[in-house]
Amino acid sequence: MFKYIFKRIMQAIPMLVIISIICFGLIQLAPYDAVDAMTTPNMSEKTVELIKARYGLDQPAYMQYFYWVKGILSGEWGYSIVTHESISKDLSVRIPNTIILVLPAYFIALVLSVILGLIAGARKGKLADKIIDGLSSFGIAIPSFWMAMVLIFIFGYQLNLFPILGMHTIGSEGSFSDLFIHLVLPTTVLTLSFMPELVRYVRSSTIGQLSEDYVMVQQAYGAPSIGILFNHVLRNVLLPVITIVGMSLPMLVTGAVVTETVFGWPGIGTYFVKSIQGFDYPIIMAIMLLSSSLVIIGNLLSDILYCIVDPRIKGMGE
Amino acid sequence: MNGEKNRRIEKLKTELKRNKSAALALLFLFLIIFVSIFAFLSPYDPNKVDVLNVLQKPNAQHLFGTDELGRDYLTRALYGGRVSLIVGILAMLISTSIGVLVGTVSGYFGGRIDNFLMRTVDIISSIPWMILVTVVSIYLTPGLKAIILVIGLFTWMSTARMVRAETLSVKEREYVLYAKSTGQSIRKVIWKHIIPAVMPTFIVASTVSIANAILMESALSFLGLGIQQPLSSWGSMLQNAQSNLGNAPYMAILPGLLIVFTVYSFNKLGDILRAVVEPKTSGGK
Repeated sequence: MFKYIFKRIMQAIPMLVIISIICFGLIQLAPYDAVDAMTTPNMSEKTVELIKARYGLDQPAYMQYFYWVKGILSGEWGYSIVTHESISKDLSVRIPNTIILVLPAYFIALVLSVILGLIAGARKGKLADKIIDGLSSFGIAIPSFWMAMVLIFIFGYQLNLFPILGMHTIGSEGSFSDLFIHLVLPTTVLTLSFMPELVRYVRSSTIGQLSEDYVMVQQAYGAPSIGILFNHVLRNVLLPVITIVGMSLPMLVTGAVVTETVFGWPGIGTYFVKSIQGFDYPIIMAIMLLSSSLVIIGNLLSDILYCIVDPRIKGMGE
Repeated sequence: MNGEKNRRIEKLKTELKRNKSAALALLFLFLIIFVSIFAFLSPYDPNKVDVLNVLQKPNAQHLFGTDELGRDYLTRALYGGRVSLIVGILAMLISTSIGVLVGTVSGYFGGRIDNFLMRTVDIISSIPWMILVTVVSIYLTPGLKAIILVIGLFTWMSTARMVRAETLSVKEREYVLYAKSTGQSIRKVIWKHIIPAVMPTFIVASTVSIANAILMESALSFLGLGIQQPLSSWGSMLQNAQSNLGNAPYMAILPGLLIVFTVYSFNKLGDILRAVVEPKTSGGK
């Protein structure tokens, strides 16, 4: 097992390196000079030269790459060319904002999906399955921003129940209940948009499990089908779900780009869209690097987790 | 071969009879393609500004009202559908072609070529699509061409993986081994024997990829990174609708429903085709 884990880590490292080279290459391709982020137009030529030398920008590209990687690893992510703010400082504010939005939504979606998926799978072809499966295939087709607009119209404009923009009402920044009512609509949208695929996944793996021999044995012993479902099938269905949870790690950063934009939520999504619109290359590449690293790490984690919970995993370290 | 074809058509018919929602989805697709081709028959010009009739509610003259510049909304939605469908279909063609090429080459040759291509697939797939597509699009002039290219060029990875897996089993079949042993060129073996054999796989994948491309386009256009004015797609119409949500909520309804039903229908079409080409899934069990 450790051999397998070690092998997986060894595969992930070169991927991370290549991704970082791609991001660095794209920054170099971009029509701007990295020093622009640190200078102001009224600085003298000499000062600009000094700054260049200080950040290693007068050196060849491969040396700059090493400086850049060193900076990233030590938490120094560079500066925005629009606002001249430190990117790592911005990220440290934005990421928690996205996490408090995405994490509860994902958790609720996961719990509901496991329940609905189990019911649908167990009642395959029956009414309950038709409703759940039908709604899921519709749900996959609904763009999250449109769902957000419909909810904003109904609960924001018509019923006036929930605020539709931002994270806090001005003046009550510290209040939890204020944050909570701002969370309701975007969390609902996210939950509903995460659910359809999860439900389908749990449903199909439940169907797969129900045709296994151990289920037949239990039935032969006269175990009630609810008991079989929750005592035996559930456990085996949850195994592959762990893989999915691991792979969803990057969602904590980029899972809500569109939803955040609709609700003006001050998270990574709006930060990213604003930097795209303003051609703020250092921020764009920082987010690209961060999110793809999370994808690679997420896949790695899910493989390792799966290997730990299900030691049968094929080809241990072959 | 012919008998095979007839059998599949028969199966398609029974599948459509059995699955009513799939038949409806197919009907809807024909309808939406038909009306977007004949959108020019509408008495209104989709881009003509009419300041006297801005933001009119749906009425007898304008069935779905007018937008903030007085343009007939139904006409714009039909033309928008044209754009969304063109993006979906062309992006699908690009991504399927690349996917099939990479998949067959990778599966057929194996070894180093396979390793290289599949690692490339891994790397591209590890960048979240939303990020990848937007980052690439800032290096291009925004517009219809850019969005088709960007979506087409960066969504072929799953097709490539599927086709590769399929090729691995097809290339061991006797007729392929025979073709190889008679000295047919590699290109001919791939083109004449491998690609026809993996066709069912990528046709199913391609209908689903139209649906995904339409969703991606609508999200990008909604964020203002896709289709630019005066051209509009369903996504960019919704972007407009968002700023008028308070006083003209009807503007959000039509394009949204059109996206949902079109995407749903393409996905359903994929389900039907899958049932037709894969005998295993169509059975009752």
